[in-house]
Amino acid sequence: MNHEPSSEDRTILAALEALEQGNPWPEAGPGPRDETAETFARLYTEVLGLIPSELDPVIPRPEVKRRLMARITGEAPEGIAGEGPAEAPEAVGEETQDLRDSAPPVAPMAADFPDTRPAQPAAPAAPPLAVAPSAPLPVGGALSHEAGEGGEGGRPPVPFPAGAAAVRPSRRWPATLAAVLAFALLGLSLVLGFANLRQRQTIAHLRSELDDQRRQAQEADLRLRQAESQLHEMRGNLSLVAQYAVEALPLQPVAEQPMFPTARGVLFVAPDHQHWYMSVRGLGPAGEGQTYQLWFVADTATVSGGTFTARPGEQAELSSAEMPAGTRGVLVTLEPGPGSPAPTGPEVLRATNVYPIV
Amino acid sequence: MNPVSPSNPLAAANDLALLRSVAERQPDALAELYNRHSPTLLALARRILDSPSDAEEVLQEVLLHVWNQAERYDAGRSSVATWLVLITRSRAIDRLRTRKVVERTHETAHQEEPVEHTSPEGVEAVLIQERRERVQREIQKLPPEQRQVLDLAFYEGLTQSEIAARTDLPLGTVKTRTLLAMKKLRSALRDEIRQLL
Repeated sequence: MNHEPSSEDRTILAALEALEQGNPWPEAGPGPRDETAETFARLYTEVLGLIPSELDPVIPRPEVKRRLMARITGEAPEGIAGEGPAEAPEAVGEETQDLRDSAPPVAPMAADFPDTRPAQPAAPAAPPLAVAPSAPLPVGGALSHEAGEGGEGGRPPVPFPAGAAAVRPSRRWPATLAAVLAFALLGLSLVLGFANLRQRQTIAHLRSELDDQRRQAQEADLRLRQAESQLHEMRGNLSLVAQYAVEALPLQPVAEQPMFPTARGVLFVAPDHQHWYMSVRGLGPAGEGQTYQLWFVADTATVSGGTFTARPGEQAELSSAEMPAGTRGVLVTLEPGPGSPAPTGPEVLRATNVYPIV
Repeated sequence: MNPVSPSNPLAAANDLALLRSVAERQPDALAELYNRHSPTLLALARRILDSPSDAEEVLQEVLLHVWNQAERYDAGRSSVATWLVLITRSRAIDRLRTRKVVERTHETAHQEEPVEHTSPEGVEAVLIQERRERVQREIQKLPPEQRQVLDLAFYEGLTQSEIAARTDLPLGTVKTRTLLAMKKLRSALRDEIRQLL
């Protein structure tokens, strides 16, 4: 612009700036006025208000009005002027409740429209288009110029009807509390569940270890019993061979072409001629389906003293507390299966002499 | 337009009287204000927001604000109609600025077109319709460049500097065009303004 802005120009620009920022109407500048600054401000506020009149009107859907009226009355929108048939009270009630819960808080009034009044008092001349408050206000001055006197904060907002205002806090905080408790319980459940899972895993691991220990203990106990049995047997045999007047019968191959030429053994006979103990070395495995069998050759018959097995490099042992009376000789044969009632197989060893050990 | 309905005496009351009744917590008065102004307010909100559903929400917010804050209306500042328009514009611009970071939702065909038309009735409604037709004619008479700056300022909430940046014009040119447009409207719509006052 090439010329100095007039009071009217400043008023227009101030009106637009107030519209942009929501600020109170700025003071109109000094200068000659064909109309008062207040009237200018008011005029251009009305011009702004007329702009949307250029738009084609849009009739809102009936639901919009029903919801609005339900929100302000807190009840079903029946009997509202200009409305069609109302919805069922239950449905409208629910819808109203939903709207209460989702309604955004009402913003302060400050930015609603610019303050069209200058801070300084108006000119003495009456504005030609000013509103004359000639008619008394039926609300006892409720629509007075309080904003001009005390600003937007001069009067507290009118509260909603009790039916509409009391619902929101009574519905929201229990829901929030319930949600917090639900989350807390969920978190506690997760923690306890995780701890329980870990404890179950620990218990299962300990049980497995305990089973292993028990099995190892059983095996150790079995080995101990076997060792004790062997020790007992060895002590018995040692006791036998260490007795006074024990007899020793050397066992050796007697055939011209013996199966195990290096095989040797000794049969110790206790002085009671009942207890005996045999130890043999140098025998090979008996072969599949065969076993070694000891025989006592007595006056009346040849009696089995038992069967035994042999492994290369190991000592084969056999003992008993029974020996036939009148035993004159001992031999070892190779017999089929579990043994024979009488010697049938080849003779492997034979005791030919008896040596008393004093 | 329908004549005054005998079943609705509020239709004959002017806006100021209706607002006084609203301040006295009379829901019927608010309903009549709604009947009378909601088509313009909804059109304004839709023009700014380009979203029927958002515009309806703004309309509800505005009327709820009126219900709760009617006592704060100052007749010395503006007419009731202008007050409603400026509240609606302010709320719609606020929502538009908030919504710019959010992707616009698609509106259904059901929401795009109103399903029911209930024409406002009463003397005031007739005056509103006549005023609308006159304003439409006068605004259409504005040169396109003046209309553009006015639209950007009013419907998009742009400052004069933002308009200059958007249109790539000097700030002084923008201000000049705005002043010319406003003065022309003021001069052309003097009778309409007088009716409002």
